[in-house]
Amino acid sequence: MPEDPMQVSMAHFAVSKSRPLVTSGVGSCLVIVLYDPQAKIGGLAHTMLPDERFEGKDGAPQKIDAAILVGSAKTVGHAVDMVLDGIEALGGNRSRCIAKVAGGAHMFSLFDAPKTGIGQQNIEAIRKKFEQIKIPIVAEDTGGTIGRVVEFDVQSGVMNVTTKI
Amino acid sequence: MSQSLLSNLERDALKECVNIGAGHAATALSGLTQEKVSILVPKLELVPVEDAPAAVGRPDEVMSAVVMKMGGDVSGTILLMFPSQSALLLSSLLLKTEKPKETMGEDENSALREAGNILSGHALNALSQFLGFRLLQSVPETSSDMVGAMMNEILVHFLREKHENVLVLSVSFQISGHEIIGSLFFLFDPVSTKVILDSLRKKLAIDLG
Repeated sequence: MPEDPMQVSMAHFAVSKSRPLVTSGVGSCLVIVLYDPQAKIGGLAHTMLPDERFEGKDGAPQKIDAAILVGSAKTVGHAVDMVLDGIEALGGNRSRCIAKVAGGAHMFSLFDAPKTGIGQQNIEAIRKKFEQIKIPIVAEDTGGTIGRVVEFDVQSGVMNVTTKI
Repeated sequence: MSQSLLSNLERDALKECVNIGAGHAATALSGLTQEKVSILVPKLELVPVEDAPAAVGRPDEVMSAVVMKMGGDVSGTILLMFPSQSALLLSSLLLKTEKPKETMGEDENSALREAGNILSGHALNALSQFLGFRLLQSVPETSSDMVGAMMNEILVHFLREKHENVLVLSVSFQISGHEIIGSLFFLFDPVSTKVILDSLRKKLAIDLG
């Protein structure tokens, strides 16, 4: 019998050997799935921000207080490192990992223009991160203007992306 | 910062602010729809940014939202949230169509935006007068999607300004006889919360703990 999926909420991550992982209500956030296909161990993170540095009100780059980031998967780069550590803790190997990403939508134009919005920044940040650590993105469903539900079946390695409208 | 950083008196004073704003918004909505509008008791939550969607609804629940930014002496976000069915019923009522549509189209969204504009305009006007400072609102924007998906983008901007917590003030209302329910949310960062409390202190000349 298939196991109940584990709900992963915003700014959280989880790693699993068998239980499917699911996260819903993904807008401009980015969901990162990492998978070791040989060991069949995977992880999922629901991240909110591209990295720790942002342009503040005056346009100068600022660093978010470290306290906000402790133990959380709020930022893309930090979340990837935590998921990879988690996969290795369960017996996987990061050098075998592949990646799948979904999210980064542009829900409102009230805050940012589509091309520079937080969703797009998240997408660019994750591509850069995986290029740096040489993990291939094998599947990607990003951008657009509607929210997503992302379900990851750790046993098969399949990531399902659905919408509700 | 946790809940306890606001004293009981401060919490009551903030709720009273919402009450005043919501009262005016309800009167405006009643005028728009020619129906009786009742408002429920205001709620206040001071939560870490990532926990704020739970204060609005289930992350995977589809709702219709009107979103406006607040500027002036304080900054924040105003949200008007409707369950999908209520959004369709309200827009049909405003557009005076015989039967509600099955999905939100351009006319329906436009009606909802206008309602949002008027409601929050009345609420902010009352609040500015009460608190004695300037509150401005942006143009409204609508979206119908999962609560979590919509909240992602709204909340990211609190993190960006380096705020760990967000103050969520809300009040639910219903339009009698039409089964239309909705909620008005004011989201403030901790800095703006302090500005509001300082104004309240002056205004009421009381010691807010």
